[in-house]
Order: sequence, then structure tokens, then C-alpha cells
Amino acid sequence: MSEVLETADLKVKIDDLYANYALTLCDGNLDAWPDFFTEDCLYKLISRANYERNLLLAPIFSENRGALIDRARAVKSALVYAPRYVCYVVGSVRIVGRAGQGWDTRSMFSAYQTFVEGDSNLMMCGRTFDRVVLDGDTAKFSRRVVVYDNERVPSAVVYPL
Amino acid sequence: MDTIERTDKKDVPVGVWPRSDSSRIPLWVYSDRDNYQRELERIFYGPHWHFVGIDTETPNAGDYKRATIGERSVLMVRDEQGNINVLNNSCAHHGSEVCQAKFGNRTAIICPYHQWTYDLKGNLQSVPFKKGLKGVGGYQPDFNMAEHGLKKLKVANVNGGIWATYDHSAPAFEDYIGPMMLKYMKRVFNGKQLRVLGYQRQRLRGNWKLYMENIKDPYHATLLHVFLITFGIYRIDQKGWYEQDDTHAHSVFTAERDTNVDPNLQKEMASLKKDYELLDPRMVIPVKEFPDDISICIQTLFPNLVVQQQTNSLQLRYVTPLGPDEFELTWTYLGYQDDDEAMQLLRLRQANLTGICGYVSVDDSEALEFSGAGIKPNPGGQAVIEWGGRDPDVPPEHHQFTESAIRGFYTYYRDIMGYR
Repeated sequence: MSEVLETADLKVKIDDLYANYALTLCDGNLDAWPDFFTEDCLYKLISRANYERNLLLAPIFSENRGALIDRARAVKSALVYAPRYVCYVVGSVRIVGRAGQGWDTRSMFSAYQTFVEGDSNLMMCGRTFDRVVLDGDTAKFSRRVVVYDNERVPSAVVYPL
Repeated sequence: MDTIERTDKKDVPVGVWPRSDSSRIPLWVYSDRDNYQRELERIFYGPHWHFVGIDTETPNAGDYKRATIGERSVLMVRDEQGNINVLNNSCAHHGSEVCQAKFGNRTAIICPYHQWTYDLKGNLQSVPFKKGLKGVGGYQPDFNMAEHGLKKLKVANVNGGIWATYDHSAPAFEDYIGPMMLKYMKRVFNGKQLRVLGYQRQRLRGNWKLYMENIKDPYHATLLHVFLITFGIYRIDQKGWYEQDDTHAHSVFTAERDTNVDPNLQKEMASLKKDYELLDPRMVIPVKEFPDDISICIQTLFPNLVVQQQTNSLQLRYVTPLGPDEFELTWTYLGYQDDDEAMQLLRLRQANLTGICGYVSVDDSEALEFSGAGIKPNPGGQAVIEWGGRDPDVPPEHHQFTESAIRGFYTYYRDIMGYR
């Protein structure tokens, strides 16, 4: 395959990853969420205020896929919270560079929550700084850093983004 | 004296306490706007101390940080002499916020609107066109710059923790919290140089006092939180200690880690999941750091700060009221400057348990909103706080099967708010 076609094919795989990831979050399918990650992945959800001051503290800090499975399981069976829908909208997916066996990628997002009252409100908006590798024919996240702008978030953040 | 005029001109209690003791809380204290205004004046802008920041957040002369006390923005500023000043973020000219950035460094504080310029201690240094132009206009000859500085708060620095109060007649900070509370506070503020690991902030729909009550409430802690009780971080039957100061305003709970559950209690704790396991359990594995075996030490300092050591995670939780029905919770995570990489990593891992996504704290955030939603339309109701008796005192055995810390909070609250 020519380099141009190879890049186009990769872009399709990465777009698919982001789109399927977003749909899985919107479906509330937490069981499937860890499958978008490699075994030794790093996942962080961190405020822009901390990120830009090089403060490492992240509300979610997971160092492997097992920790993501732990989180999904806790949300399903251990935490107490009001039922809600999450609507996750992703855009501007870009490959920004080659990184070892994978690629550095980034995206923009907004996420909305809908509670029992029925109003949808902004939960978080921001950017993601990720690393993607190919597992066979499928792109997976080996790193995902979700940086949210709205530092003062409404209520608790139950579902990961 | 640098006090700010009170605005609750009516200054009358808005209701009558339902009982002579504090085993009942009328629900209007969580929603009434006049009561809330009275709280701002008497508690937040009155003779009580508020946490502002950590000295290492502003290490150099001219470094500043924005903070909040009640609804007011304040600036924590380090001056050329190395002292930390806390100044009301409102220009003496026309009231504008003089500083909008969250952190920064300045040689002087210049209001962006009319460029009144203050030094790092808040003294007014210069005003543009002071004498007008060519002998006309400007300020009158009797305009006294010394009278128009930024309002200065009284400041205390306790082992790197910066505290402030608007009321210069407030007792010294150490006297305000008393020797016993100071002893527990110094578990975290132990004299080593502190390092801020980061912040988390959330907006919760409920009254600010509900959060302080939540932290003073061992009843819910042993029932609601799967993660606390299952991994032995806190359970009400553990070896622990409960203390209040003499005024009942402040309190502390401690417990020692222990995963062996009293079988008689197990059936009462429906959330206990004995077989619950984690694929990556590192965040619930403690490393011994303190001389004693206390795995949780959670302290509330009136009116609005929580100092918590949860295993190796050190946090401050600061409550900012946003009207009677909403508040902000600001989490400041701490370590020490001399932490090695392994200790820092441990603190970052354990932070998964608390904060906006915390395995323990999500339960509280949500329960707080359930409280807020249930209380707001029912101001005529009462909370029944009789678990462990009706008095506000620590039981002689220091056991934790009691809501007396909440009764203690309201015993003090009623006194300063005028609800006899």
C-alpha cells in the first residue's frame, strides 16, 4: 500500500475508535468501555487547571486496564448515585505524531448529563491527549488523558469519559 | 480596624429553634435566604478563621493566588519581606475585582478599571490624574491615600497553612481551634514543607452546612460507603477515637485499619461486600507513614474546612457557599516537598478514593444532593438527630455510635446565630 493510502486507512481506524468509544459511553455500556484500551494503558481524567500547572493530581488515575475494569464494576455495583444519561460528543480527531509503535492523537469533546428532571446540562468540556496503537486491525488507546476545562464540575462525575 | 460594614441591617433571628437541645434541626436553616445572609455576616465575615492556601503556593515575592471566603474573593499575596497578606479583592475606588487571574506574580496590584495601584500589602500607592491636569480636576487636597487601601484580613500561618479572618477582633487562630484540635491538625501540618499535588472542585446542590454535617456523621459512613467499609479504611466498630473542642465547634474522628468485622455488626451493614476484590488494589494498600496506626483522621474546623488523612492521602476540603441552596467543594491534595517518587505516586493513586470521581466521595456528593432536593421544598420539617442521645458531648468512651458531633456543631451555631 502507498504511504498515502496507509495514512488514510489509519485515519479511518482512529476515527472509528473515537466514534465507537463515544457511542459506547452514550449507550452507558460500561462493560465494553475497558475494551477500548490496551492491557498496560494509562488513563487520566484531569482538570485543565492542574494540567497546565503541571500538577499531577487527577480525579481518575488508572495505570492499567484492570483498574478500568475496577472502575466500571464499582460504578455498576458499589457506588450510590442518582440515575443519569451521559451524552458524549467528540470532534476534531487528529493524528499529531508518531510515537514508538503507535501515534499521538488528540480530540475535543463535550459531555452532557441528563437527570430525572429531564434537562440536559453540561457535565464537562475539554480536550483529550491520547496515544493509539493497532491491535491487529483495531485501534486501541494505550494512553488517554482527558483534560476538562470546566474545573468546577456539577455534582459528582460518576461515569468516566 | 479593617472590618467591613455588615449588611444584615435587620439582624434578627429568622425563626425559633424547635427544642431547647440540638437534637432537632429545623429544615429552614438549610434554605432560608435571610438566615443565609445572617450566616455570611456572622460566620463567614465574622470572628471565624477560614483556610486560604498553602504558603508554598506563593513562594516568591509578588506571587499571588485568588481564594474565596464566603461569597467574597480574596487575594493571598507574598510581599517583599516574605510575609503573606490576605486582601479583599475589591478596589477601594469603585469595588471592582482588582485581580482576575487565579495565580500569578506582580510587583504591584493594579486595578484594571481606573488603575488605582496598591503595593503587595494592599496600601494604595498611586492613582492616575491625582491632581487632574494643569491645575484643574483631580482629587481634593484632603484626599488621603492611607485611607483607601484594599481591606486587609487578619492572617495566621500555621506550619505553612494560611488562614484569614475579616474580623480583626477574632481570637488568635491557635486559641480559636484550641490545643486538642491543633494537635490533630498538626498530623498533616507537621512543620515539613507542604507541596500541593493538585485541586478538584465541584458544585453541589445543597446547603453548605450539610457537607460539614456529613463529615461529622459516622452513622452514614459505616452504612453508605462500600469502599470504606469493605477495605477496612473506616468502619464504626474499628478501634478509634472521637473528640470535640470545648466549644463543640470543631471535631475529629480517627480509626485504625482493620478488615475483621464484628459478626454482630455485619448484618447491620448491608453495603459490606466481603468478597469484593480489585484487579488493581494498589490504591487501598496502605504504607506506614505516621507514628501511630490511624488509617483515617478526619477533622472538621468550624465553619467550613475538613482536614483529612486517609491512609497516605492528605486532603483539605473547603466549603464555599453559593447561596442557601448550593455550595462549592474545593479539594486541595497535599504531599510534602521531601516526598520521594514512590510516596508521591502512592498519594496520587489513593486520590482515586476521594474527590469528584472518588470511590468513596461520589456517594457523599450524591447523598448531599439527595438531601438538598428533599430539604428545599420542606422548610417546615425537622431533622431528627437523636442517635447516641440528645446532648452535644463526646460520650465518655469516645465511641462513634452517636450523632453528637452534629449536635455539637448546632450548639455552637445556635449560640453565634442567636437561636437560643
